[in-house]
Parts: sequence; C-alpha cells; structure tokens
Amino acid sequence: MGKNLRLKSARAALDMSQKEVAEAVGVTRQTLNAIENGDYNPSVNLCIAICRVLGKTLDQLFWEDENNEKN
Amino acid sequence: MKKIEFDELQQSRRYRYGYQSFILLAFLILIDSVISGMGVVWLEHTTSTFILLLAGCTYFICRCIWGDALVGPKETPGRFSAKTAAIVISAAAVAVLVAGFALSKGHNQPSAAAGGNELSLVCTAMWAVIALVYALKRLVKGKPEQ
Repeated sequence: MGKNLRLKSARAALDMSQKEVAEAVGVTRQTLNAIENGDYNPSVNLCIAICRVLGKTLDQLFWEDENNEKN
Repeated sequence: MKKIEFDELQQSRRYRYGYQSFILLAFLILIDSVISGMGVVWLEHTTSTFILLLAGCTYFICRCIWGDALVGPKETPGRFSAKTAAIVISAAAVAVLVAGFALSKGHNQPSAAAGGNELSLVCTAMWAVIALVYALKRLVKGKPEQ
C-alpha cells in the first residue's frame, strides 16, 4: 500500500500538523502518521472525520482511479 | 475512574497483542506441564503458573508500549512531564527495593517463603523489562510524548 500524499498535501495546505489533525479527529498522531504512510487502512467513519476536518471529500482524499492514482 | 478510550488502530493492535499473549501463555503452560510430567520441578506449581501469567502480561504491556497502544489519544500528555518521570523513577526504585528485600531474605528460608521471594524477583524483572522497552522506544522511535 502506497503513501497517501493527497492527505498529506491537504493537511499541509491548511498548515496543520499531524498532531492538530489527529486531535481534531480524535485519534493519536501515530495513527494519522500510519494512514499517511499507507501502513493502515482507516474505517469509513475515520475517513469521513478526516475529510470533514480537512474540508475535502472522500473522493479527493481516498478514492483510487485513473485520475486519482495512489501515490 | 476515567475511562480510557482507544482509537481504531490502537484497538486492533491491542486485540492482536492480546491474542499473541494468550497463545504465548498457552504454550508456556504446555511446556511447563511437559517439564513437570518429565519429573523436573523447577518451582512449586502455583508459583510457576503465576510466573507464567506474569510473563504473558509483560509481553502484552511491552507490545502495547512498542505499538503505541498503551494509552488512548485523550490520555496522551502533550509532552514528557515531570509526573511521568516521577512515576518511572518510583517504579524502578520500588523494583530495586523489592529485589533487595527478596535477595536478603532469600537465604535460610523454608520452601514456601522461597516461592514468594522468586515471585518478587520476577515482578522486579517484569518492571525492569517494561522500563527497558519504554526507554528503547523513546530512543529508537523518537519521543512518543511530544
């Protein structure tokens, strides 16, 4: 499983650290780091929570197709 | 008492570590039974079983520390605090005191008391292993409380 660079770039665009996003979502920084590094597949509920915090849709952050290839 | 809540990654890791600890414990008890069946008694049965239980618990705690699954996101302090340092130092001091007491009383004791001394030594070793794993994690994986 590759790294989720779209999540990382969306977080960086809001100038938020992993810790800030993790606290807003209600998980540990290590969990968010694992998601960004592709070491962990989050549940749909957690994906939605992350999308709400970052102001993105599920497609923009997590969907994989020709246009949104996994990095 | 404050309820500790874990996130989903921590929960899945704790389930996995708990399963591994259970399998480890089952194998240790099996090996102990085989050894006892062969006529080798390394400790009194109750004491040896308790020590094996402690070994399983130690494995679980160490794995949780290493996998960042010991405390939930709401319980994690913002930075390494003096309180944490005081707890670790106190635990180490108590472990050393118990070990010293056990070693000083270990000689010229009847066998029943000797079992208690061995348990004290194992508890000390358990604390030492947990403290070592915590220190190694901070060293290898960076400061977890930052």
